[in-house]
Amino acid sequence: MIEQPVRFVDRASMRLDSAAARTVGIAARRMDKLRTTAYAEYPEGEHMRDRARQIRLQTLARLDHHLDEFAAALEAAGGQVHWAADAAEANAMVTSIATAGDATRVVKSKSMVTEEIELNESLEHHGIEIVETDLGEFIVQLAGDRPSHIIAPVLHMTRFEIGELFAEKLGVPYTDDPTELNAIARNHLRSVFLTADMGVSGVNFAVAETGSVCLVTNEGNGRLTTTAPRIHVAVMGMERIVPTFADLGVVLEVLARSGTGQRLSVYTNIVTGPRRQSDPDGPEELHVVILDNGRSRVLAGHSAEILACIRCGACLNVCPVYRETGGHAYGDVYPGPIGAVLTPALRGLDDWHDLPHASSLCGACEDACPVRIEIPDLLLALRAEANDAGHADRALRRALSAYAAAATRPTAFRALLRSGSFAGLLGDDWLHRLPGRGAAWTDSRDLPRPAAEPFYLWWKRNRGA
Amino acid sequence: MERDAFLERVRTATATARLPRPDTPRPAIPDVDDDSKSMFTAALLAVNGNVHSPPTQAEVPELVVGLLTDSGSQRVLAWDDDQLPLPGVIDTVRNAGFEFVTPDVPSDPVGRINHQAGYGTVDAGITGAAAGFARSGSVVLTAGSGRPRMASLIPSLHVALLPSDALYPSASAWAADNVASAQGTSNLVFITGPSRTGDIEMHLNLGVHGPRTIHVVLVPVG
Repeated sequence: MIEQPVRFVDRASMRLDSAAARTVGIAARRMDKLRTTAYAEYPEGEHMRDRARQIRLQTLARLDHHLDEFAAALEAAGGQVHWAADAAEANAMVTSIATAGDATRVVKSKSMVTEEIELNESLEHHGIEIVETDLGEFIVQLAGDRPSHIIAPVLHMTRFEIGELFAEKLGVPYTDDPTELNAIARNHLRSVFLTADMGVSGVNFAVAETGSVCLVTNEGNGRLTTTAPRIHVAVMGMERIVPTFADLGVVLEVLARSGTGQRLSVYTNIVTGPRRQSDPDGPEELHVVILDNGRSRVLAGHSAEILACIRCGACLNVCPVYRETGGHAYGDVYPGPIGAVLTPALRGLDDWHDLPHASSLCGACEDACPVRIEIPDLLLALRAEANDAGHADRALRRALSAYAAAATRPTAFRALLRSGSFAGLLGDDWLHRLPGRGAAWTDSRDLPRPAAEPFYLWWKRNRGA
Repeated sequence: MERDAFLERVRTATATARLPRPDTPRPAIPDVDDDSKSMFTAALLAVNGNVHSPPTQAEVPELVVGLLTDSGSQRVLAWDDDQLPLPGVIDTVRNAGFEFVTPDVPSDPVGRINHQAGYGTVDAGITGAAAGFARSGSVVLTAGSGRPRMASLIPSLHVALLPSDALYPSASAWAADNVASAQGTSNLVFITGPSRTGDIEMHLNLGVHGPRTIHVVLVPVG
């Protein structure tokens, strides 16, 4: 884990106006444009989003049943299923699969869930070399950094920085030409793939009906990871299930359109068991690790809907907070609006109670979400929960209880409203500087002057009996 | 954790889960474009792929030889001739002087790595395809006897032979009718254009891990 400030505001302040945050903001806007263009030419798009939402929510409502069916179908196809209660169990399982298979070199295809459990650190601790193969993740790993976007992990680095990194770590001549940088990475990783013992992937979707795991990539590293090495280990969050193969078709289409504005990702790779008797190639073993790690607790509570997320990243790209602060400000694996809900829901509010406040509640995320997750409602529920647990800012609590005391006493309330009209004495339409704690607001923006007359007085005068 | 205990914990959670119950989705808008061949062609071109539509089957083998020759390929990894939609393609390519690499990977760990090390110099792959999606320009490949996965993955050039009557409107339309395809293979892949990434400053790079070039040959049927 990288050392960082505990509060979102501090992490965000460090990064506001940085080159990295600006790069992320520009890229996020471009990616959002790709999404809206892709939906504009998708006549059944709204229908497919409705279908996808229904599929995901109905699956969650009977998740135990679908997991059971998935495991049975996968075992019938020759795969092995492992049930991990938490990160430590999952890491121990992957390590023991590697040890049992004499695997010393492991290749990995980009996966959020393995970042969540910090699998790389765990395998390295046991002396196993693990190499990220998604171009962006490969660069992030070389730099010893963390991904800043779900879909494009290295959005925050420029090609000049990447050129210097390659020259230093791979011993190649400096270049900042993206095509040459790409060729360097391809050549380097090609030999790693072909000699790796084990491949670790995430899972975009698992199909209960067929026991299949589905991995979506554009580069092809997901296919190489699950084809070249002798052993394939897929780690999946337990909520990744869709019931039928027909359902898979629906969610794949909305994932591609929402994530990258593509009609379909370049490689949709559907794995059903290990290599079969007559297959010329493919892995000899397939293991699927199904991870809970807090998900059953989330499912049991009022944030359950967040588990419908298909990890497309559309909510990041539209979010005004994400566009300004970049992904790292969220402090954990899942950035943006999805992270503002998922991180406190999974990891607990004690350490993450300020994250649900990293939102203006503008609702752009809910509009963009392919499965229409009601993110602003979930954020509000988490804020309320944090408040009930005593995590609210003390000054805010005092102000709110004073307000509650006044609002329940009509005379006091009217007096309070009239006190706001002092601003009518000022000449300007805007307040440029508030006293006390209000100054934090007016430091960076003006506040509209309150109306000279409270609305209830106006109403009494104009419409009152 | 044991399977039963894991599932019991999930079952308990679903009992109290607060989940919206969405209404029945609005009806789908029917696909009005019936010219699936031109739609497929336009879609694949849009993602930097190439489509060939020879008027007769007789032209297909020489077309494939031409694509391999033009790309400067020498070593080929291919599906067996009887797994392609048209017999005789592999013989024609072999007679044109191309070297074929054996696609059968040994099961033992050392044999496996030694065999796959030779894949580093493979230039071209020739495969069939079970179906195509007109909306996205995708082809569907299933692994199996005589159908190695690596042929569409390891070379920089991929030539896929797709029967012209195997076009479906979209992935969702195909998936709705073809669950048996997923059950009948250890690996099913939808390929939509050449391998690509925008990871470095959103600059488009082709061929980052998979093929840099894909040619889909629509093989006339009937």
